[in-house]
Amino acid sequence: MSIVVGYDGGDSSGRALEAAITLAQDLNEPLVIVCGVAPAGGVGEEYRAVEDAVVEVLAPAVEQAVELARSRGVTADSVLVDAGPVDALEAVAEERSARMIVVGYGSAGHIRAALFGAVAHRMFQRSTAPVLVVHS
Amino acid sequence: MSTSSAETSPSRSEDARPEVQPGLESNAIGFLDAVSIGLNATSPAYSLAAVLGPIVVLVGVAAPGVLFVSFVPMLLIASAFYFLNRVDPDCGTTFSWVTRAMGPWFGWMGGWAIAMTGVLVVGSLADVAVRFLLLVFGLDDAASNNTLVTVLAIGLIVLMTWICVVGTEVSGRVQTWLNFAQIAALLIFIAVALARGLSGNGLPGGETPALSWLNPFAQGTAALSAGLLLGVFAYWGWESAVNLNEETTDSASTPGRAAILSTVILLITYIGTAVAVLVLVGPAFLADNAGEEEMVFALIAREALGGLGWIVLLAVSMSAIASTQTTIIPASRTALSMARRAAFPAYFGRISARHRTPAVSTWWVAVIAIIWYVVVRQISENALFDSLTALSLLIAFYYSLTGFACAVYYRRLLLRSVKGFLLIGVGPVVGAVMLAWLLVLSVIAMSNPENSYSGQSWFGVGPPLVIGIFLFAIGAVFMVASRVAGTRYWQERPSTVEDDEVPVSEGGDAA
Repeated sequence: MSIVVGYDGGDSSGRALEAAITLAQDLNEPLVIVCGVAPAGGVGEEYRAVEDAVVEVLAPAVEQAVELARSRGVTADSVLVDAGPVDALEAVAEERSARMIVVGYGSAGHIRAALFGAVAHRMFQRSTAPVLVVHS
Repeated sequence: MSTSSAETSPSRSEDARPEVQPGLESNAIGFLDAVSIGLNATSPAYSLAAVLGPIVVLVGVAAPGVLFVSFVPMLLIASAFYFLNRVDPDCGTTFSWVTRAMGPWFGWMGGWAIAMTGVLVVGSLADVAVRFLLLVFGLDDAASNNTLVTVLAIGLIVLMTWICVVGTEVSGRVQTWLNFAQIAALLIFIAVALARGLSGNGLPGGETPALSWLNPFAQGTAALSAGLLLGVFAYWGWESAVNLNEETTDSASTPGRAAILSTVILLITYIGTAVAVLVLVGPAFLADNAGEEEMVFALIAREALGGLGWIVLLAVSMSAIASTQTTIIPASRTALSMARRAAFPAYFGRISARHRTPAVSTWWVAVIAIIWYVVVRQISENALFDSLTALSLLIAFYYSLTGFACAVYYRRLLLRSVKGFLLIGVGPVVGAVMLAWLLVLSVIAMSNPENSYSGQSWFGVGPPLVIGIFLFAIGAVFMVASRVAGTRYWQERPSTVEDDEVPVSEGGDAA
């Protein structure tokens, strides 16, 4: 069992991270910090070049998040997944038999969320594990 | 990892790259989605609206034949894309492949050509999308108000760019349905137009179909080369259908079968629409309305379907809107890739981490595209069409380069198997030679302004040639500047394929 949290270095996922660390402490569960790094816009043309650029920026942020969790006495590790945020969370939650999934709300922006659905919404629809949404 | 691939592709040699776990297997692309990807990148309804009129004006009843023959080089070059993609785990494109096979000079120009295609096409896409959408709602006056259309088209470019930047993807399923709806609309148009034309209810100029329509050589070479060039544009993007890795699909045979089906669909809709238009209204109608540019397709759709003409108009508009994504994304990603390899300034390699997109290069593609669109609109009404022809020159150039690069990259293995020799060597080279030949013919033809669609003359030659030379000249200046700056990109050296990357059946020794 574990607690899985989606983290992309943004403000709202930062709040999700805070909540997830506290929960991991209280429940004494290991924390898995997940970040989907697949370029938006599909496979094909220079996909890997974009993904490398994304990883360069996000990997250090995710590493800092792991260190933050460890500094609070939580067993933590991170997974970068070649997928979008929702698929990344779903894949890791399944693999690590997540007790719950923690996500932020609103990192994508309100207009976009209203038009195309927020990560949190899509997690509700898809996840078999309970989803905790941390509002910003 | 071998040293030679590390030399040519610095991005792969970074051992410091953190491990990235593969995504969900259940998200593999299914058969219909794979078919849809090829159709989506080609945008049949938009392509027909953009080029069918000019092709008929140029070659008359030979239009179906020209559309058929244009697919041949596309098919051969797609083979090059397939085999280059297979040995490139980086999911590169012409820029990466040509650099690896033929060195930085050729690679740079190939990348530049791709980036510029995005710039040239976006204005036309937005223009067509806006006009046809206005026509759907019966706002015909608004659709022919150039100022209004220009403003709306700029708004649409900004909106579509923003969608590319925030990385929002319409779900694969929605996209697949939209694509098949587009094909259905075209098939309805073909069926009704043929039925009306053949029963004598078409316009007086409507022709009786003849097998000779499939002979592309009926008109002179100048008309033929101009027609074929537009035909290449009509199939532009189809290579995405064969560019799918076997790992991304749900079975090893999916990409092949999907490519075949998307080919059949494209050929039927393109040739069928051309025949239907000739039968219903005839070439004279198109020649009389040549000044109407892309709007001529709207006239014909209404002629064929009457009150239901909006079905085709909507299909064209949706197809053009969807196509902005499949044209902006390759252009901006190529610019990013060039920046990361130090062929462009590093500035263009910046990304939006939150959206996982090449934000800077995407906005730049849009900004230059808007400037281009507005300037060209001011210069001439028909210049938008001339810039499509110029765009076709760029496409023929980078496709041709990719075809040669494929054979060059695989050169050591070509004589080891019949399959490899034909599919990796002969096919791509023949396709590349055809396109190079077409390029030369077109340049000669365009040296005479009368062969331009608009019949205008800039500096004594046809506008598309001026546009094409202008873009290559700017590219050459930037390329030389980059070479003088001596960035690390210029130290990349050509390499060849490794034996263990290629199956035995094609001359390699991969397990």
